[in-house]
Amino acid sequence: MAEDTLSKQFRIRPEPLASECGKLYSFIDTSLEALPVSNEFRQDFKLIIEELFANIIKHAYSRDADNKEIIFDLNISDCSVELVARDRGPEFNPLLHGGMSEDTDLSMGGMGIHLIKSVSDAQEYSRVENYNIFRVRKDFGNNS
Amino acid sequence: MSLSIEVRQEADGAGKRILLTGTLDTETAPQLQSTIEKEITPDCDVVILDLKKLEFISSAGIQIVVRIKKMATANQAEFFLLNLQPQIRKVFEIIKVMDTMSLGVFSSVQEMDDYLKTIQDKAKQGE
Repeated sequence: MAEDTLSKQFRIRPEPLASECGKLYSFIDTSLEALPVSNEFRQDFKLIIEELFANIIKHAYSRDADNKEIIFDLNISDCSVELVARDRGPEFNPLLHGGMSEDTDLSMGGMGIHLIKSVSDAQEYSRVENYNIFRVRKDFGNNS
Repeated sequence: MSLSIEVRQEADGAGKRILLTGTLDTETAPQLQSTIEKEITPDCDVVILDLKKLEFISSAGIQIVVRIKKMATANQAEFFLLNLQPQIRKVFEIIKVMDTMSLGVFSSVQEMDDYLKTIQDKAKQGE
């Protein structure tokens, strides 16, 4: 059986503040530094994490919520990178509520999940023990 | 990551060029919103968003660009995007915003100047 030589896991727990975006981009840069992937691949993951984070801080937690935990895990294998986002907000599956149509008012947002789906290979939502868990996977190798 | 915004008056006095450097995302979009609310005034004929030094844009940034277009249109001003870098253009194309909003997009200052001159010449002929 071939050994998974690139396998690594990284984690970041940002505060629910827009000012944390820079830390998330640095997290992606650092985590993917050793991977044989293109700059476009890295930029796509920065876009994915920004869109997920923006959605969480906008919708998941009310102003007076006690626990505004947000966790991003980045799981790297020999052929893919998976970003897992966890929050403790109300149950919400963006795959059911997101998307765009011809009538979408672009000045009001709602483009995030469309962008995520366009730059990734797989997306999955689950609700486990009061956590929303959203997984996004992007393969590399031939397509990086 | 941060956003630097420079606003220049165009040579003819009736246009404004907004140059962005850095990142336009959830964190920095409000900064651009504040700037355009001050700078896009009824006497602007042309609003140019120069993205040559913009390295990253998210949907929050696209949202602001669309609002700039709507503000310009409300003031009967032309609105153009200039010098989109490949990753920036990719995001615009995914959202299909260029076609949906009929955004004028130019690859260089020369291309945009040539277009504006054509428009101005046509306007003079119509006087």
